[in-house]
This record gives sequence, C-alpha cells and structure tokens, in this order.
Amino acid sequence: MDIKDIKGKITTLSLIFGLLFTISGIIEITIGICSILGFEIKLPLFAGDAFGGLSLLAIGITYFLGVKKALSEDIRAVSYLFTASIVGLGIGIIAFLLLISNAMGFLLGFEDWEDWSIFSNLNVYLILGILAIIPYKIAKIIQSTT
Amino acid sequence: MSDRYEIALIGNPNVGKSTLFNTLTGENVYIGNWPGVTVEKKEGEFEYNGKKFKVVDLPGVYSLTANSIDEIVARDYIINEKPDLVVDIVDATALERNLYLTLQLMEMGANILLALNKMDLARTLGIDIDVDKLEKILGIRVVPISAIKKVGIEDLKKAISEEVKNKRKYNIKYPHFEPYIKKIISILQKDENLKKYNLRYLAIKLLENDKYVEDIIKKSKIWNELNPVLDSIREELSKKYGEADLGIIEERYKVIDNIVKEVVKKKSGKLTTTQMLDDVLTDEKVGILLLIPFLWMLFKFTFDVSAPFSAMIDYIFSLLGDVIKSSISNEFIASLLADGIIRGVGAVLVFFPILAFLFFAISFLEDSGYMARIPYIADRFMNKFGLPGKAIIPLVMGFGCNVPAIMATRTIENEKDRILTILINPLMSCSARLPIYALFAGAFFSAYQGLVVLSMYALGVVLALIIAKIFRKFIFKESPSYLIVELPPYQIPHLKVVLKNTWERVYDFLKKAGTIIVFGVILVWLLSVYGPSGYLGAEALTNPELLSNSWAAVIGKALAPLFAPMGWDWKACSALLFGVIAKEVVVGSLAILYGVGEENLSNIIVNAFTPVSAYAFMAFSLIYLPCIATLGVIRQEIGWKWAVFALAYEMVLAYIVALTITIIGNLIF
Amino acid sequence: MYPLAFAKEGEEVIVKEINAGYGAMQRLTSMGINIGSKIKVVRNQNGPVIVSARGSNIAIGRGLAMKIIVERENNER
Repeated sequence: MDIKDIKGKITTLSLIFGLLFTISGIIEITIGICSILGFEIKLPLFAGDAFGGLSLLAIGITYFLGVKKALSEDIRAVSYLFTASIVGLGIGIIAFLLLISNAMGFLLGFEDWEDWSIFSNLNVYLILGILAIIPYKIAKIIQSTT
Repeated sequence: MSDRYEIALIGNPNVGKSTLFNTLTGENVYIGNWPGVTVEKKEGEFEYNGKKFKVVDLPGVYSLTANSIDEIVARDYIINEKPDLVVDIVDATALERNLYLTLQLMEMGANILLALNKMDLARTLGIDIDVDKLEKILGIRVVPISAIKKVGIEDLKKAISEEVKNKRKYNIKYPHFEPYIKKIISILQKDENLKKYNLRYLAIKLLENDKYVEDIIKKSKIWNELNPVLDSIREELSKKYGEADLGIIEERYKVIDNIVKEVVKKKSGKLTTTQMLDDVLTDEKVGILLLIPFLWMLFKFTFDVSAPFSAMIDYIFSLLGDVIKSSISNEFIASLLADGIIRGVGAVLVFFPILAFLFFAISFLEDSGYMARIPYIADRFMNKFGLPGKAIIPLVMGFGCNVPAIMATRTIENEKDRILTILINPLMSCSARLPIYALFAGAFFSAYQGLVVLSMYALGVVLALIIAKIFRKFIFKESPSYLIVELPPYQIPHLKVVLKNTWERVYDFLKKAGTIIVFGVILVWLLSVYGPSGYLGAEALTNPELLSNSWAAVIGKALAPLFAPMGWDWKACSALLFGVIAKEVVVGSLAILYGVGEENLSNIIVNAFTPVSAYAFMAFSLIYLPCIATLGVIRQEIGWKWAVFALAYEMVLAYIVALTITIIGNLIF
Repeated sequence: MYPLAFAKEGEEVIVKEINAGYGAMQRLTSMGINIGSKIKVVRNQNGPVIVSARGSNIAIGRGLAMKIIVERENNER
C-alpha cells in the first residue's frame, strides 16, 4: 500500500485525536497544578491528576508526530496512529477497571468511598480511551492491506 | 586547452561506478596502474557540447581515512592532482552509508557533483529521496540517475559540463566541532606554505589524529604553537567521546542522520504489528514520552484498582481485633492478640492486594513484550545516575509503596545494579508519608501546602539520584552493567502465564517478608505496654499519662538530646520510633503522646514546633528509616547485611538533612 | 571496520571483533552474536543499538556497541 492513497485519512484521524488528547491533557495538568498550588477547580469529566494529564498529553503528541510523518508521506505514520491508539486504549481500560473497583468499594460501604458517585469515574480517561478504539481499528485495517 | 577538463569518479564499492564509467566513456578506455602500487587505474574520455572530459576511475572506497592502499590512492589523487570535478556516485538505496564518503570529500574541499544512482531500485523499495532538498542542504549539485538503465546520463553529462567551471562553497558544518576547527585554522593561517592545502581539511584531520596530515604540519613553523593547543583539544575530546578520533566520526554520522531525516522518506512497505509498535515505542524520544502513560497505568492499577480489596482486608482485621478484645477477658492476652499479633498479620495482609495487582501488571507487561523494551528506552537517561534502565519502574512505584517497588527490582538481572536500586528506593516518598506532610504543612504553611508537600517528594527524588551516584562511585565501583537484552515480538499476554507468575511472587512475599513485619509490630506493642516499672496495661496505647512511662517514652527521652539541635521534644522522638511500623503511624502517635485527638493535633503542634523545626521534621520523616515492611522486604531480597546498611545510611542522611535544614532555616528566618 | 555503534539503521554487517569482557562476550554469543555472525542494525539513535541476529531482535547498550567491531556486508544485491 502506498502512503499517498491513505495520506488524507491518516492525517485527519491523527489530527483529531491528537487535538482531543492534547487539549484534555493540558486541562487536566492545569487543574492538577492549580490544586497543588491551593486553588481547587472543579470541571466535569476532569479529575485534576497532573500525572494522568501528562499521560494524555504524551499520547496526543504521539498522534501529532504521526501527522508530521503522514504529511511528509512516510508510511510510518500508520505506526504512530496505531501505537498512540493502543496506549490510549490501555488508558481507557484502566479507567474502566477503576470505575468497577470504585463501584465495588461504594457498594461494600467503606468510608473512603462514601462520597463516590458514578460520575466521578465517567471522565476523560474513560471517554478518550473508548474513542481510541476507532483509530485503532482503522490502523489495523490499513495494516492488513499492506 | 581551456575546453579540456579532468574529472574523477569515486564511490563506495558496489554502487555501480564501473557501469557508469563504461556508459560515460564508451570505448575509449586506457587501463594502467596507479604509480607505485598495484591498484588498477582506469581512464577514459567523453565529449559533451564540444568540450573534452578525461574521466579517472578511482578505487571503490568507504572512506578516505587512509586505512588501505585504495583509500590512500584515492586521497592522494584528489589532494595532489586537484581534478576539476569529483563525481561522487551514491547508492540511493543506502544513502546514509554513502554520504559518509561525501562528507569526507567535502572536507577536502574538492569540487563535487553527486550522482544519485539506483534511483529506480529505490523507488520500487518505497524509498523517496527529495533531490532538491538534498542539493540545498549539501550545497552541491545532485543528479538522479540509473546507470544500468542508462537513465539520466545526458542530465549528468550536462551537469558535469556546468559544474567543472563552478567552484562551490559548501554548507556542511560540524556543530560540536566548529570552535575547535576555527581555533586550529587561525594558527594554520600563519604559515604561507600551508596555503596550498584546504586549511579546514587539515584542521579536521588533525582532530582525527591523521598521521599523514600531522606529518605535513610537523614540518611547518607553526607546529610548536599548534602542538599544545591540539593536545588540550584532544584531551577535551577524549573526555567527551572516549577517544578524540571517535568524536569527529560520531559527528559526521550525526550530520548525516539529520540530512537523511530531512531528505529520505520511506513511503510504503509491509508492516507487522511488532514493527509498528517498535517504530514508535523504541524511538529515542517518543519512547521515553510514552513511558509516562505506561507508568501511570501501572501506578493506577496497582494502587487504585486494588484499593477496595485492601480496605476489605483492613476492615476484616479491625473487626477481628474488636471481637477478640470484647470476647477475651484477660486484658493482657486480648491486647497482645488484637494490638500485637492481629495488627501485625493485618499489616502484612494489607499489602496482599497491592502486590497481587502490581505483579499481575508487571507479569502482563513482561508477557506482552513491552517490559523487555523499557531498559532500552530508559537506559541512556538512567545511566547518567549510575542506574540501569530498568530501575525506572521501581523508582516510580516507590511513590505508591516501597514494598512492591522493591519487589519490582527483580526484573533487574545484574545483582549490583539491583542492590543499588533497592537501597535508594525508600527515598522515594511513599503514600504513607503523606499524612505526616499533610499535618505539618497544614499547620505551618497553610498558604503553600501543596508546594511544601511537593517539595518533600522532590527532595526524595533528588536525594535518591545523588545517593545513587555516590554509591556507584564508592561502593559499586563498576559502571551499570552492559545492556544486552532480547526484544521479543509483541504478543497478547497469556492469562495463565500471568496469573502463575503473579501468585509465585506474592506467595514469596507473604512467606519471607511477612514474618519480620509481624515480629516488628509485636515489638513496638511490647515497648508501649511495658515500661521500666513493668506492665502498664493496654490502655497505654490510648492514654498519654501511661504511655509516658513506657519503654517507648524512655527511648524517646533518651534520643531527645540528640535531636535537640532541631528543636524536637521527646514526644516527637517517640512518635518517630512508632513510625517504624508504618510512617503514617507517626501522626496517630503524636496525637496520643500529646494527649489530643487527631483532629486537634495541628493546634498543639503549632506550639511544639517552629516552621523551621516542622519542615526539618517532615524531611526527617521522609528519610529516616524504611518502615518495617520495607526493611523486611529488603532483607528478603538482598539479605540482612544490606537491610542494616540501608537503615544506617538513611538514619545518617536524615540527620544530616534535618540539621542542614535547621541551620539554614534559622539563618534565614 | 568500525564499532557497531556507528553502523546505520538498516545496514547489514559482519561481526569482526568483540573487545568486551568474558561475561558480556558469553552473553552476546549465547544470543547469537559472535565473531563472523551477520547482523542487521534495526535501530541506532543516540541510545542503545537494536540489531537483528538470527531472527531475533537484541538491544545492546551503546557502551558495549562501541566495543563490537563490525564490517559492512559487501555483496549487496
């Protein structure tokens, strides 16, 4: 398969997901740093975990590097799309496990989970992680045609 | 005569040089020998636009460092005969390798034209070369050809006829070497006799320890001035690159790397999953970047997903303790069972879910193939601190808990590397230390709480890296072991394998480290309920009056003079003693010792400490000793000797750091 | 002949000398890298070098890669 035929598709996909992950990551990091400095900011979908935000940012940057490869017509653009999506998917799986585990703590009535509600785990990690299935599947299809 | 030019063909072996030579010259070939040696010399001729070109076929060489007769012949010809044009034939399918010779030709200051051969083959291999860009970067004319298919030959002839008159200026610079080159040239300039050579070439060759050039310069009058300068530069270079001449070689390859990155694109090809992942995950920069999400996932899975299971075990054991206390009438036995043994066993089992999740995750990553790549990715960065690449996993895990972190060092094969990684691990601030920071930061630095707490974590990391460097220098004198690791293809992990590995590791922990933890908890219980006057009763654990007569208090009082410079009273010292069980116990113990509930504790300690002594106390709590569980696991992994060593060095380090903070703090405030 | 650390990605080389200690030498040999063996450089940036030897990929620290002397495979295509 020649990169020229799929250049547009890969560029668009990588760009969209790069933006999603990067922006979410930056917001998450900002909230995290603010809470360290003593300003609590509450935003739905965001947990204020600077480490987690950095992870999202790292994945976003990987997507963007894929855009760069695609624009210069390098077949490895597919590799970047694929790998970034797998790692994003991993984040989603962990977020899902966290949801289940927290729900368990809540249902068993432990005090650390008193204030828990399902919305506190319906966050960017879960959503972006689930969405990453799309580019992952597409990258897989591209791979099988090479 | 003005319309007769001499050009030379040069290139690596097997680039299609002979084919091109025959294509250019046709029948008019003269075969002889190079003067003095038995290397064949081929000469031919062709005409273009009424101009005559004599073509000299130079031997096929990879470089011009004069390692072989072929290389010497080629170099001498270019330097001494000064052909009007050197046509460098380059294999488009292996541009990186071929450009090495090109750079050397450029260093010599020869007038060069690049013939990019095998372009057709490159295209079928999916390699795309941006000829215009290559021309621009190198500053020389580049003509794509295919000698076998006779494509582009007319273009080449035309280019040759134009370039023979053009003396081009090259743009290639060696960023890390330009200052040295400049310095040497400024001295070489003083000798008029050297003007016939390209001074830049002489300078580079001197940096490369080239004997031929050195012999030329030794005859010059500037040698005495140059020699000491050269020696000091070479010494500097050997420090940086191991050996001075390796430095310039590495620099050439770096320059080539950058050119190729700009110019060559692989456009298509077959992709396997392993290739795709490795394109990204083992990339020098992206690989490190993507380590962050992997570590985050490992961290979250180990500490957060496991949390309800830990809470369950905690709950069961405190329930068990209450049941025993209320059902056994003998108060001594009840307290021994509940506060000593059950609490001890609980302290061990609380780690069970965390460790099970950690080992599941690590086994998962191992079986997937990613784990084998981590040392590769982190090696360069971690080696700066004398640590192996794999040490990054235990260090990050240490922020959660040092016990699983130390067990995670098992992936490090070299024993010395592993001991070093274990020894510094307790300095990574585990989550149990957070309550101490939170208490003191809240009481004394409420406006900058977050920053103060963060500074503790930073202090831990900085100390760990410094200590690693020091231990590497004085205790483990060899450098981190050579990395040799197989990178297996990626695969979806087998659940069975992962579960089996997980269980084996957790079982090992329970069996070996478990006993020492139980023993330690019982010992601290004994120190609290007994005093010089004998048995004090189980209330001592909740009653400050009674507790002040216990052995724990006696030890605290005995230690107090030692910590007087920091301004801590005996109660603070006793609390630190209790912290041996687990560091979060320090807070509860302070509450008992000061005779207040934990919620009012901050009001009391504001009077007992100053901001400086409080900060010193926080730092001391961070460093002073690994908790019993950590100590137990260190002993299990690397033996008593090292466990004691860890304890001793951390005590000394903690004391030094706390004292330093006190002294500096008191100077400022 | 030059150190493996200077070989280029995609290049096929033959191992000529290994100037490392006994331990590292044994380790390399056991993984299919000995004098005379043909290896392909898969990745070589500033860190360790990844080579493909007898069908498996092996990462070699840069320090060690400086001590493995290789020569280019001549008969390309």
